[in-house]
Amino acid sequence: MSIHEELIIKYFEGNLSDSEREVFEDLLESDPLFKEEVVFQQKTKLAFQNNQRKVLKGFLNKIENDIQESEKSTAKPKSRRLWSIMAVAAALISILAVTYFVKTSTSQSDDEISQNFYAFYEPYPNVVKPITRGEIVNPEELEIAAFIAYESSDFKQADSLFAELKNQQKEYILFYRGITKIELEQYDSANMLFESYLYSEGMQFRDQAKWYMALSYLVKGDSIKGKEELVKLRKSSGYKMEEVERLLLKLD
Amino acid sequence: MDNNLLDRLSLGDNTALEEIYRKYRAPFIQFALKYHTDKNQICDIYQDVIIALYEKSMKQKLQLSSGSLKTYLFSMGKFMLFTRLKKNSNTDFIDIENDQDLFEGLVESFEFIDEKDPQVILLENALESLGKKCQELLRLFYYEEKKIAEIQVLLAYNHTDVVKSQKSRCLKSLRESIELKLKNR
Repeated sequence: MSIHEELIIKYFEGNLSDSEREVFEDLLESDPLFKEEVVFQQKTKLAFQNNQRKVLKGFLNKIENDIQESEKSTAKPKSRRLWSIMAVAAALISILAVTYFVKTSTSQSDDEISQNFYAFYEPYPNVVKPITRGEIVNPEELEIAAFIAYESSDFKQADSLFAELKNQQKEYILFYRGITKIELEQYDSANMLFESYLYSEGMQFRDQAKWYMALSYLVKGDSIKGKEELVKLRKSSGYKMEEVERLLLKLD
Repeated sequence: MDNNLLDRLSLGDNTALEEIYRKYRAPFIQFALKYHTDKNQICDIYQDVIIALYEKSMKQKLQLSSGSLKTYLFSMGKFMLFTRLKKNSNTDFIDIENDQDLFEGLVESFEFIDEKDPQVILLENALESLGKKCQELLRLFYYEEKKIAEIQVLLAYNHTDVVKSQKSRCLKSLRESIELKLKNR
């Protein structure tokens, strides 16, 4: 067994002493054959790792499929359009996740009502600034950066980026910043932003803005204002009709 | 109870792997949905987290002194999620070894290797055609990161020198087999 081979074994065992490490590193620099051998063994290590991970991944995938199958058979979803299923799922998840979203410091009974409203809430999807995955964030493009942060649920970041875009004359930014503020639990700011949106010339999200404003009031605990907004929304459109009805029933 | 599971895991018990996977799946997804909305991708990351856990436990590098298994899985998941979002890579494994907190020592050994290296791909295939004995020995050394002395005990060799020379023979035939493949292209 050559001294080189001993060194390489110790290296992989993580057993090199300081002086041995020095020799090892010198050899890497000065001896191309030595380096080639180390690299070859590192690649072997990597190849083992890749192979084993593939096997494990297959094993876990099988378990995952089992789980999803049994989930499907216990809860047969009605055939609705895909997005509405997703919305319902998101609502359910929100119900489950309520304890995460609502600050745990307050006692449960106090928050029960606003928790209920939170179940209706999910952030509005980004439909104005499609983000092409695969593109690395270009910091010059503030707006894209803002929506990437928004989509990745990094709402603090999104908020500050949206703030920088204030003078852009793009109404929808008011709307999305409003959602962002809800996420940050700054409901008053959220409502102000939705109001500004509704006063602006933005057309795309008028109903949505009303809907989120209502939720924001409700979660905050202002059921009078919340109800008011819901009634307005019911009058003006059919947006979220079912949910609006359910909420109004709850409030009565 | 988790300790028992982890013990079994470190011995390579796949039923323990499955139990852990099922036990923390729902809480993990719920947790990850706070940061990301794509459930498929979250499941994918959860699998990678479980695989990383498995590897660490196999290498006896798992120290859960600072928190429970759940905390560990969640923080690793969060880390992977953000790394993945940054990299925007959907299918490939992210480099788990980048996690400096959880993995020290061998990090630098991967620095100058490109994961898409054609030689690695050749090696992946060549390993499968290696004799069973060689596969086992090399897997213990490179994947499970067992020391030569441990392998001597595990595979009942007379002396560590026998392990070492066996290992270099195996590496040699591995080398030959990929050189042959290269030639036949």
